[in-house]
Amino acid sequence: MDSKESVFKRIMAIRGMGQVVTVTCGLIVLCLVFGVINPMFFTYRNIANLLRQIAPTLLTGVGQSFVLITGNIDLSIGSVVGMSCMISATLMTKGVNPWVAVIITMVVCIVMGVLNGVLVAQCKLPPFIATLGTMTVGRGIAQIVNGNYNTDSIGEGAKFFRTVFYSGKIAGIFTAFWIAVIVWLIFNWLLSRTRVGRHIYAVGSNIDAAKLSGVNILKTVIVVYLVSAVCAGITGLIICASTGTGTMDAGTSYEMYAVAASVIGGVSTLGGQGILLGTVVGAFIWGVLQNGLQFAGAPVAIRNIVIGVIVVVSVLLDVIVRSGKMKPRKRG
Amino acid sequence: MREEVLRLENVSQQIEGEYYLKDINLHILKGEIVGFVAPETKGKKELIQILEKNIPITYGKVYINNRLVNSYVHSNLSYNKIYVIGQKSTLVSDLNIADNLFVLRRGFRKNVINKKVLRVQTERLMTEFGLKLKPDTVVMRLKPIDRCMVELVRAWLMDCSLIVLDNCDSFLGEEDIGRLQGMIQEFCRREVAFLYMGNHHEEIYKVCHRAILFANGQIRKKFSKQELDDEHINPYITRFGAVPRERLQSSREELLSMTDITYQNLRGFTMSVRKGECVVLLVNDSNVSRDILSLMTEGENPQKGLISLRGREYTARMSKKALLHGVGVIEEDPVHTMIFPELSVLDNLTFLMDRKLDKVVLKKRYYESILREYQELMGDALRKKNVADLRNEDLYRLVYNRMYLFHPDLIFCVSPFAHGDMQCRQVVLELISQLKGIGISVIILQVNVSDSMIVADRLLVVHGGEVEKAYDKNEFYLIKR
Repeated sequence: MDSKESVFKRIMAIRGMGQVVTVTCGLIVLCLVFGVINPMFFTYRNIANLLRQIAPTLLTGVGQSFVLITGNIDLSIGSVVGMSCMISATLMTKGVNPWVAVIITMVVCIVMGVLNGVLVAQCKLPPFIATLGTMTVGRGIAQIVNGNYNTDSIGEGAKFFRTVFYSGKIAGIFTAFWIAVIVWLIFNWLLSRTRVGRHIYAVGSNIDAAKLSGVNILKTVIVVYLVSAVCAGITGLIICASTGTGTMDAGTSYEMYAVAASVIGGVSTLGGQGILLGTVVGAFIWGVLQNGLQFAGAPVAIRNIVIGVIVVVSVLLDVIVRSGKMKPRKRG
Repeated sequence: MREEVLRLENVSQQIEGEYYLKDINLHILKGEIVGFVAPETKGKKELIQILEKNIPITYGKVYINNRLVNSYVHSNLSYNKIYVIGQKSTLVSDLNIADNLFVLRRGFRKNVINKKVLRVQTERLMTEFGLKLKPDTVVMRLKPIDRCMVELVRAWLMDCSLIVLDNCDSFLGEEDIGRLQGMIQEFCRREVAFLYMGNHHEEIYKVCHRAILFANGQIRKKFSKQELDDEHINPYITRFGAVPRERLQSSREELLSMTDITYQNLRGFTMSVRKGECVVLLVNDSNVSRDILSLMTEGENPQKGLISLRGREYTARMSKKALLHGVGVIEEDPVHTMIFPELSVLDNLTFLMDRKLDKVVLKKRYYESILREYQELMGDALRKKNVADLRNEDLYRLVYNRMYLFHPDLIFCVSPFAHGDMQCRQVVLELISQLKGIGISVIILQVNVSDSMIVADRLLVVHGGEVEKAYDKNEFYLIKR
């Protein structure tokens, strides 16, 4: 009993876990409500689809969480998703081996991430402006790569690529979700167990103290934008595999979904706070709301309004909780 | 008889069940300077808030110019005509002096600003108060003393009958304090009253007409003009405890030397520090401190001169990675500048460990070992999850022990005694001696002598960017406060 208690205490002692537990309770309630409204919600088919639907949000959410924890933001995620989708699809339709196409696509995404990091940390551009610029550039590349047209089908040669990134199943669950889980595991380890992870939190928490403690701010900020771009790149590949074509407007508004997943899961927009487990829960809430409201017959507009309100309330709660810390410090 | 400017009657302030102000009775007359000696910070901030704006109080009444402005029955949250001058400026740093004085003033109604008229008006004011400041100077370029002067003039323009000076000796040097006090006396003649707050009564006593001793949220003692001397206040204040002498011995081995350095505000600056030595650099201009830190930690090259560390040239490249080359900095007000509020206490303490051990992933056993070892130095504070739950003294311990754990060869401490109360300053003294005890050299950069003499081995007075005078420990008695 004691050991059980201490394990629970140890889990709850992780910073940000309290919020994750609260949001998880909310998620359970949501699932129950949608399950009562429509019993089809809890069918295997729906759950498998739901998990596949969640994968892109979870991936982009992980990337955005990294950036938000440093106190910055990445608005170029959606464009990088589109760019990744278009570049990979174009290369595949031109007969390039799908795996070579994947590597080339990821290299371009990484360059985009490094560019974002350099603009923010080295050139000192406000992250909002810097990534707004690269967002337009990314979308432009997505349009120009196939001469301003969506691509044709990536063809039979890319069948294995489609199986790996979208339609294949492992243990009854689509591979797209497994990819998201693996990416999450890697980046969660990076954030919670490594020196880089601590530097990321330190930069978001107190950038001056981080500088004085010898943290390389440029390197740390580049790393977070790179993680974000890698996640967006993989998301683009999943979308390419799902549609079987490259679409120029793929990934539109994904930066917003990513912010939603992060913020709902307790990642602070003010930096320094949040854990990736929260982003998972945030992505699930986003997915369940989309899926459940669709089952309930709610139009897209209503779904957007509901999610938008939840995001605003989450940020508001974060600001209120944070400002509560500014109470006068007790003297002993 | 002179008119009364401020009267506090039995004012008490309770926050979350704890008294920050208890039964405060205070009155200030027009043109009077009342000293406010506060060795502890508790309640001081709350008192300033009550004076500035009428926030709810638990008990008592506040009168300004004989008018009841706040009471325990009703607080209207309005602002009083009381100006507070402290380390944090209330001027807008990106605007010039003229704009700050005239445009950003309650009651300024003009929509179109005539710059020429503003300039003429500002120049007239500056001449009136004997200030040689150009109206177009942007506030951020002003020296701290000039900024204080502009704030005094602004308070005058805003028709404030009382000005609160909050711990000005923490950011102004001896010479500047003298200038400020001269100006205060000039304002007194114009019937402006002052509440002169500070940690050190010696500074305050030079100009005030009477004084009060404030501790633990209460007025402990009131001193009349005749009682303004050490003899009367000594029984009520605690002097710093002794710091063990045997731990303060430094070796003869030279660690850092700066020879004939010319860089921005430094002009032929020369100094050296031995291993385990504590040197105080008394600088009258905070820009000089910034320049030294830029050279040592921000990758800047001196225009002339040589810096050497452990007998080898200390290059700009090394300075970019100062910590890895054994040079650390504890910034001014470390409670706010050096703490990561979102990290746990243990994470804050061990923040530099990965670089010390050169490991990407720190194993759990390292944390457990540090936890055991530092329990004695940090006490229960180390077990707390949230740094917001720590007392100020513990936060100081956290920052200094982080450096202690990392063990650089040299640490620059910027104004380490400027922000804490008596208790914190005692803790800082102990922590500095603890660093010296393990052979770390400490260079204290500050604008006034303050309390640093207790741990210092040498004191260098820097004036005009060069070392003007040097005092060894046995010559400290020659230094006038």
